Amino acid sequence: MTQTSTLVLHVVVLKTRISTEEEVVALHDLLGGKENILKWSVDRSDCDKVLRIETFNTTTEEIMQLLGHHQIFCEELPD
Amino acid sequence: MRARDESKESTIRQKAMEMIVAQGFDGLSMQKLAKAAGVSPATIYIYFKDREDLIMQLCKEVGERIVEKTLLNFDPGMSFEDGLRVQWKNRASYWISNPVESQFLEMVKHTHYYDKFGPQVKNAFSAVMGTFIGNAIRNGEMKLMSKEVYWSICFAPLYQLVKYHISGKGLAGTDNFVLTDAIMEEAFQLVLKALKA
Repeated sequence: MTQTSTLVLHVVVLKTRISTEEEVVALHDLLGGKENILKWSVDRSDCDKVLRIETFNTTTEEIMQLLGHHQIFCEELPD
Repeated sequence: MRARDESKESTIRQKAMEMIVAQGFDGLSMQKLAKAAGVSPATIYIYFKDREDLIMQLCKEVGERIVEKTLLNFDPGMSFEDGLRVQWKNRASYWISNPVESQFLEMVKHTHYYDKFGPQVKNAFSAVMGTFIGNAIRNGEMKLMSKEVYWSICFAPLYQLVKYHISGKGLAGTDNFVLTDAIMEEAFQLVLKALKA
């Protein structure tokens, strides 16, 4: 029997405090090179400065850890 | 991590359109929309990047639908009278059955959003209508005229009648007005006469 792995696309939605262009550039440096991250965007017009990430096989916790490690505040938005 | 839910997405789109029609584009925020749609802001972001993305997706959806509904049962090989009658019925039916969507479309026409999706709608119509009008002119069913004059004569009378119907009031707001098949045909025959070669 052979095992096949499936890539599963997830959307991770986080509240942040990203409000300046410089912070977005810093985030680009951090997320831009990640293979598992397909797309990301920050809605700076929203009061929750929502970071939206489309990712393959990366959990919300892993994203939060990555951001936290680089001193970027984030928390999960409640459903 | 969250999964997509088509019924939630549909509710979000519908409420967003209602909010824009009632309060204008500036009246739409993700937070207000979340409350109106009975979902969390996080849920909205599953489907849309931000407010701009949401509005653009609404435009795309409405644009595709109006092309589909207007060209329903229409064939550019039809005679001018038959083809135009199909279009009149389709257009009247769409505008009367979808008041929120049609108001949204009217509002969008005066914004920068239209610059992106407008040409797609126009191209979809042009491909079919170009053949239809070309046939009508070659067959002597319609005289040659500038595009704006053609459209104004061809469809503006219908849209005015539809407006009367939606408001429920006729000229100067005095009478109850219903756009019946007979009234539509009366106007249609006069339009055909005006366009005829």
